[in-house]
Amino acid sequence: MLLDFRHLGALRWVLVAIGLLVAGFLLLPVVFIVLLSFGSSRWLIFPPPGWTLKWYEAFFADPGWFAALGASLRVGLAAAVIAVVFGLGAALAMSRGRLRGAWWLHMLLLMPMVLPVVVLAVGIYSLALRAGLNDTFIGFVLSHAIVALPFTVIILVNGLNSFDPSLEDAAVLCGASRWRARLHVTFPSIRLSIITAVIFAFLISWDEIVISIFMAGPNLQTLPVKLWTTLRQDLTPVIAVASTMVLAFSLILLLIAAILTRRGR
Amino acid sequence: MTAWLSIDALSKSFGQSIAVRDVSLEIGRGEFVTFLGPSGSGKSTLLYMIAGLETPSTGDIRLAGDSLLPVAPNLRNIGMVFQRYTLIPHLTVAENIAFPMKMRKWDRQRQKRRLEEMLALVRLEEFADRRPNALSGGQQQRVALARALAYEPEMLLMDEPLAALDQSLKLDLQREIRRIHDSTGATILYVTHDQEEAMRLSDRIAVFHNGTVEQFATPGEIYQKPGSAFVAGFVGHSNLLPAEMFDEAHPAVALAGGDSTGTPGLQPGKGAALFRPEDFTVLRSDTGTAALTAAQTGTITGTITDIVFLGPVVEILVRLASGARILVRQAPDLTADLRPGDQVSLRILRQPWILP
Repeated sequence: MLLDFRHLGALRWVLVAIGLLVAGFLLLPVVFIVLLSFGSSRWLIFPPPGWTLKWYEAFFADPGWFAALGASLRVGLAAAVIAVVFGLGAALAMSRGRLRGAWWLHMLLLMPMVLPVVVLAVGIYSLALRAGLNDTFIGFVLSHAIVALPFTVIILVNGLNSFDPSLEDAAVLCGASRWRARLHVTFPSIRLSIITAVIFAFLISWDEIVISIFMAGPNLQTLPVKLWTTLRQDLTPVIAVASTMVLAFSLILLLIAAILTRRGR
Repeated sequence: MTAWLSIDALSKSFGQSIAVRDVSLEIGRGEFVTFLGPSGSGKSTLLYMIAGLETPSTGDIRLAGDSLLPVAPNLRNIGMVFQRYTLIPHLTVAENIAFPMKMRKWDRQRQKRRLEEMLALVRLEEFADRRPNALSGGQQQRVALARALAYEPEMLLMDEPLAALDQSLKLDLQREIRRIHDSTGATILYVTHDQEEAMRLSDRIAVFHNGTVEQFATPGEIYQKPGSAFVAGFVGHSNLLPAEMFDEAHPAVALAGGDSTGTPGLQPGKGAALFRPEDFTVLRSDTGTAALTAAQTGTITGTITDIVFLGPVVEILVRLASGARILVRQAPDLTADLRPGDQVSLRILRQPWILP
């Protein structure tokens, strides 16, 4: 290759420097927040004067934080399942070609991704008010599923497009009904895409904040909402702990997704 | 042969384009029938309609008198092998072959017995526990064949199953398919664009062109008595010369443009005489064969423009006085002293077939 890294000479150190700067710019806030969660200063001073685990104790001792963590997990899981089930249905309809207006449907399903979140949130909020879904589990799950749907659709359409439909046809001729063929052949063949879609849908719900703030009430708030409201009242290092927890969980899931995608190749 | 599978005035259009137009075929039980044609001629679409994976626009398909159209594809009891490898990737060879039996809820003993028979039939016993991606393309297609035959389907459909394989493997598998047809007595409908493959395998060949069947006949008839210029051109090389038949009972031929003296006094150009490349002996005009003058019936004279050595045969291109070109195939030892530019006589070995 013409632009081979090894043949760039002195220029490659410039590239390395730029790379490191960009990585640092992206990662520094994350490193800061993690370090602060172990810092002994009450006022989030950096660098921390000493190290402690007391903020973690405080986090786990507070039932409010724990409830928010549980709510986030449950909402995320349910929203992911719904987004993937509906995404799979839509992806099947669109990638199997016979559907008129498949392109328009695809565009429509991608709308929540393009629309400004605040606009979407106001819409969902007023709709949920009419339906009485504010501050309910179902309300959170449905609204998160809407935002996650474009991502599951993209991932699953890609998965189905790289799957040869003759395989499903062959299974049908072997005596399986269309749905049994999908269950036995198609879905197992695109299982990596399905798992990836679940993970991404969960992650989207996991750090969704704008819609959640509209949805939240005294009964139910997810972790990001709790973080936000706590932050407005009181700048405590427990926030750094909660952020670190969110971060750690996201990282683990992203790692699983990355491993799965690599194995899929 | 009495009709078992009847395809009756079947048509299929996709939007504006018509893939299959008004095709009718009668196929007997146990027959090996090949749909031969260039890509886009409708042969695969017809096969997919028989399988139930495409719905006909008009017409009917009947099996033993009953219409197949209301029957869902998974209930038609048809086996199919596709051009692409369609083994289920997360199942082993044995599980793939057993898949249709499992779908039919056969009991375990019967499944096991049949699985062993099938593995033996395609000679893959030692590969039973492998995954498809650990097999070669040829082996995968043999497994697909075993899977399609495992449940004793009434009909086996094959859509260019060997198209992706290399030549020598193709020959092996063709022999295998022929053997399986003989030993199982299955009715096989086979789609290919490879005329040699069609000749090798089939009892009868249906030649497709632009969505219609140009001719449906035995390989011998297709080659020797093609029903149209398209069939003549698609199956084997054809030399067509304008001609007229002057006696229906004894079709002798007068060729146009003075290429043959044949019988004088006939108007040339009313039909086309088909000569295959092996229908001639090439004789040098200036050697002892000079006795075969242009005046003699049964010879054509011309000039060699090109000679190509192909191993078992030599191809000689001859330009006739009329400007027409004729391709002749000869054994190499008969042509050792021929050079481009030589004047030659082509002795016609058999009566040409007159195309309508």
